[in-house]
Amino acid sequence: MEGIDLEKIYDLIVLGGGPTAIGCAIYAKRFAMEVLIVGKTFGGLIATTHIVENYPAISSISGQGLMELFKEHMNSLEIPYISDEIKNIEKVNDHFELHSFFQNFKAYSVCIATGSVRRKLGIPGEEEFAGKGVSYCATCDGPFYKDKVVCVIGGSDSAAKEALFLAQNTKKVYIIYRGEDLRAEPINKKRVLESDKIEIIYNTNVVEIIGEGKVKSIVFDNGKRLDIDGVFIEIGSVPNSDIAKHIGVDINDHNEIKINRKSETNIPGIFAAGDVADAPFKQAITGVAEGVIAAYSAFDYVKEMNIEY
Amino acid sequence: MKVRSVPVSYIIEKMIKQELAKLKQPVTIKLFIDESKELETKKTLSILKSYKENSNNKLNLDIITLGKGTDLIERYQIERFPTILLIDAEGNECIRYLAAPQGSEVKPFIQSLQVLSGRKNYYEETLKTNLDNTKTSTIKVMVTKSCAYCPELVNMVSQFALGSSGKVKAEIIDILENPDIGDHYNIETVPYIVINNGEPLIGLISPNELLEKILKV
Ligand SMILES: Cc1cc2nc3c(=O)[nH]c(=O)nc-3n(C[C@H](O)[C@H](O)[C@H](O)COP(=O)(O)OP(=O)(O)OC[C@H]3O[C@@H](n4cnc5c(N)ncnc54)[C@H](O)[C@@H]3O)c2cc1C
Repeated sequence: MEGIDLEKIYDLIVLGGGPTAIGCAIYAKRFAMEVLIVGKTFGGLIATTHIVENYPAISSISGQGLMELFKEHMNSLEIPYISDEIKNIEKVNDHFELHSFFQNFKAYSVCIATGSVRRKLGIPGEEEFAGKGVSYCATCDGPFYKDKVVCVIGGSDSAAKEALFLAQNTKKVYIIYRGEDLRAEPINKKRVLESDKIEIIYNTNVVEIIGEGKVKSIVFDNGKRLDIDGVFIEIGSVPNSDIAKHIGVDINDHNEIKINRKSETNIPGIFAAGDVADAPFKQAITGVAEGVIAAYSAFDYVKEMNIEY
Repeated sequence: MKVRSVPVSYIIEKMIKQELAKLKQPVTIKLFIDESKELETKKTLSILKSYKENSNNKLNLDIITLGKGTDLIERYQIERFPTILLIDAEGNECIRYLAAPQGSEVKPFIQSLQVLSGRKNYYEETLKTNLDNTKTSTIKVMVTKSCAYCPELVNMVSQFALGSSGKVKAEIIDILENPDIGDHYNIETVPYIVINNGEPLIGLISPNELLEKILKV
């Protein structure tokens, strides 16, 4: 709670605990704005990946390690951070009020950087065996599958990286992908293809997960079955945009917040950035860039309100 | 091409120094050890000693050895070694660690020390009003070292324990170091929370969801 004033109207409150939110707050603080971050979890999605090799200026680092660097930068600027989930935002006179179950906050401007949650497959057995063989996080649950047979469902770069991480300890990893060719970065695709522990099953959908107390096998759309100990689902994610929807922010058909090149939404004073927004590429560096742009725009917005710093 | 990695241990060491410098009042950590478990004892001792060294004398490390401090081992019902206890000024147990506070678990551990040392607890007011008429609950948080979501949850549950005037006790358990506990609950995913041995909560939950679950129990 150090450095947090609940009576104050902040210039900017940033929602989220991922790279986008921290990037936005770092710039806002350097613009001498009164800024506060409220994030449900610190680190965001990137913290769940075992290796990041495409964040410029850092050749190789774990996702968690990268977020430790973000935290160090945030702390060095004494940016206050609160672990909490904002439930709704409302406009009151010239500012916004943000409510969580624990506290209420006030700000002249808000940046929504709430990212996304992993998409579910929606097939029989997925919910029943969640935590009993079905997982959405290889770094979290990979260690439980030492010398076992697992599969990763999905064909993206994230799916390829999850498979490479799992291959370090497991006996065998299947990648099951409905497409014809992995969509991974060429370097990760090459690593997957060269791994003697990873086998790719293309043009195939998983339609059911079967087990008894824990996962035993999966069923494909061609009727075949594969015995498996763990199923890692990596088929993209769904934006956390409900909070924006409630206050009337425009959302597209994919549930992403519509923003312009200044990270502005249709509501003056509300900005959005990163995985929750409608930019076509979803990476830590692009999220940070949009977050930084949001900080610039929020600075201009608050400055025009003639608020004294 | 040679890939250059950033040493995360360096960042964490720096963080330990910076954050421990913020301790206000002295705090006592109780460490229960069994000298026959040489490796585990050595590891935990060296971690906690490095905390102490960086704390400007604000951290007291009270080491209780199996066979030599029977009354305290009984009082706190210590069954496993090493066990780390974070206690309040009256000596009441708030948080029990069956895990080494290292790597990404450093942050929640230090945040707990900071609250014990006088820093304000964000959840305290709401917890006091909501948990006033409830019985004490023990929340076990099962983690592994590589789990990205675990530190956040450990922090939340720890802050609940510290801000609940004794209504919540936290136990942080590394299930790779305590595999029998993992087997007992049949755990294949972390973070995994059990409140008073009730139905498990799997994955990340927000503070309000955690409070709701405690109230239901
Ligand atoms: C397996 C995997 C590997 C990846 N690898 C890479 C890679 O190598 N390089 C790369 O650049 N990108 C990678 N990505 C993509 C990257 O993780 C995302 O693009 C990035 O994390 C987006 O950041 P963000 O801050 O916008 O959202 P997120 O990281 O999703 O963070 C959103 C934050 O908002 C919080 N939040 C949600 N709702 C609320 C609320 N109501 N109130 C307060 N807080 C809230 C969440 O708890 C979270 O902290 C990978 C993704 C995955 C899944």
